[in-house]
Amino acid sequence: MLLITCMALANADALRDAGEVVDGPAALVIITPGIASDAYNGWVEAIESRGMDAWVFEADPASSSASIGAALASASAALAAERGAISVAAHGWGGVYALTAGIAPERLALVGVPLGAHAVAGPLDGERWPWETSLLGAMPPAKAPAGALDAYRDWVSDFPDYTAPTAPTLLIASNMDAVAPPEVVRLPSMGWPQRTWERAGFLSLSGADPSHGELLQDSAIARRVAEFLEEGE
Amino acid sequence: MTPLILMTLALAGCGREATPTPAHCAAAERHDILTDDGAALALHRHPAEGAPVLIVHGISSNRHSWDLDADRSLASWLAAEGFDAWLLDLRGHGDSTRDARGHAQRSGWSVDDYGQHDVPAAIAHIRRVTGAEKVAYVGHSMGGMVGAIYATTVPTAARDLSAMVAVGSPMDFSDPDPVIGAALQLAALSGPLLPVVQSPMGADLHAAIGGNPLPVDSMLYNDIADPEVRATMYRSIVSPLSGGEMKQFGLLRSGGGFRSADGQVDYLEALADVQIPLMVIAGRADNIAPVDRVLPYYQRAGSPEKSFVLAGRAAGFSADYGHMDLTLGDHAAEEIYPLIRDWIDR
Repeated sequence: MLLITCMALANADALRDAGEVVDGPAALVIITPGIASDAYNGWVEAIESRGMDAWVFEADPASSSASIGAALASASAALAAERGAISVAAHGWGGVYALTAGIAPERLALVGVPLGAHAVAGPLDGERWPWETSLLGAMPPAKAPAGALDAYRDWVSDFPDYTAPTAPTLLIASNMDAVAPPEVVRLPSMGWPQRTWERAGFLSLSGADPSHGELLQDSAIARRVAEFLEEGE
Repeated sequence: MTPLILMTLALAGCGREATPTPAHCAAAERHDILTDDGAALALHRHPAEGAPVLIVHGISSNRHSWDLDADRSLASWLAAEGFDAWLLDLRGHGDSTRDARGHAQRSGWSVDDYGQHDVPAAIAHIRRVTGAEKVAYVGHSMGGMVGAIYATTVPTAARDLSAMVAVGSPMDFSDPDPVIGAALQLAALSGPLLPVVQSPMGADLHAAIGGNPLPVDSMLYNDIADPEVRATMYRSIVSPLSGGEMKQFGLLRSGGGFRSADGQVDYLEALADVQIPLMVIAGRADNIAPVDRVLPYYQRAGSPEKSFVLAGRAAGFSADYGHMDLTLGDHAAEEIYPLIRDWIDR
């Protein structure tokens, strides 16, 4: 474990063992650069409540957006080398790094992760995020690596290339998620080989349609993510 | 619980055949026509000197879904802008519930019948009366799907249509969601058993309680603030469902694109051959026709001229539009009607 941490830190990025469980199948939670890691506590708790060992990858704010993918790939490989097959969970733009970094998890849970360019970009008028924060819901901010927020703006209309995951993948989206509405999640993923699609909110009888931030904070969704990751164990 | 409520609303009716007529509609001309298969239809014209526009409603609705009152009427709005606006009540809806002899319409019709008989009859009548070569088509929800049937199966459509606008019209039913999946399953089961499903009484009951305590409201609108407007909407718009159209929708429970009643034609795929200028509008908060189910209508259409509009705050609109907001919402006259005008007036 010390070796893993040292390797990750050597890349100026933080891979750390979160929560209290120290053994069991490893599940890596990718913190979206620019979002406070505390916002993921519910995911960590839900994962560890199922006997898995939650780890988090949090890009160092001193790094750059361009280097995050490589750092994530390195950290993921280091964790897998130490612990065997790992599963990965991500929310929002953090999931784009997971797709483009070329990591190969055993199972993948993507919540509110855009998988393609928006059909209508609209006015990008947020000061920090591409849209006003009132459209995003609660998004506790953190210092982001240079260029990360610009990358998010670019991805709205010019999405990066990636290879569709072959691992079983859970996709959760909400009609009211400005970052990853279903048309940029369900439609681009229709050819994925092992995908589980779920629309959160009214049409699934799970309350009102959540915003982007609410998708991360919703405890039922956190439990669903943990349940899906555990199914592979 | 929601499918149960929807079912209750759908099944509780007992045969109301006339719909209330808002006072401003009294000025409209009524035209009674017959289709080539014998159905009687009512067209309501808001006349003006300009180009003709045929406006079509959605499932279990009638023309009032585009023409509720003086402030919420695409027909009146377009007429004021110089367009010759024609509202159609599809067979079995609104003023089209009886045939030419005054008997109830022959039952069992499908959605295909709307596109292959009702719309061609309406277009032919409008061309004959106005002398115009072409007519623009605007359809809401199933009305936009009916437009797709017409455009993909009636050979004269390419000649007769100047433009199409599909508003909140789902064409992709892949990956069914639990609520819609349950509704489609219900449609598949009940469609073959019931010639007509009377839904207006359920809507009347909902109007009578005056507010929005039922989950069904979350499916229908997000931007209609006045409870009286909501009550009027429920009282005026809801019309019976045909067992045949329910059966056709029931085919979609297994996913895929919107298909013909015999299951042989995938209208979503057939749109690739359509060349008619097409605008597709989707509402961000539409839970009847979510954006990802509407967008493929635009993506698959072969039209060289086509446009997609996403009516939501992230795209600069003042509201996230729900299903009925697109036609009757508090901001529709400011934000949606002008888009339609501009497209058919290109």
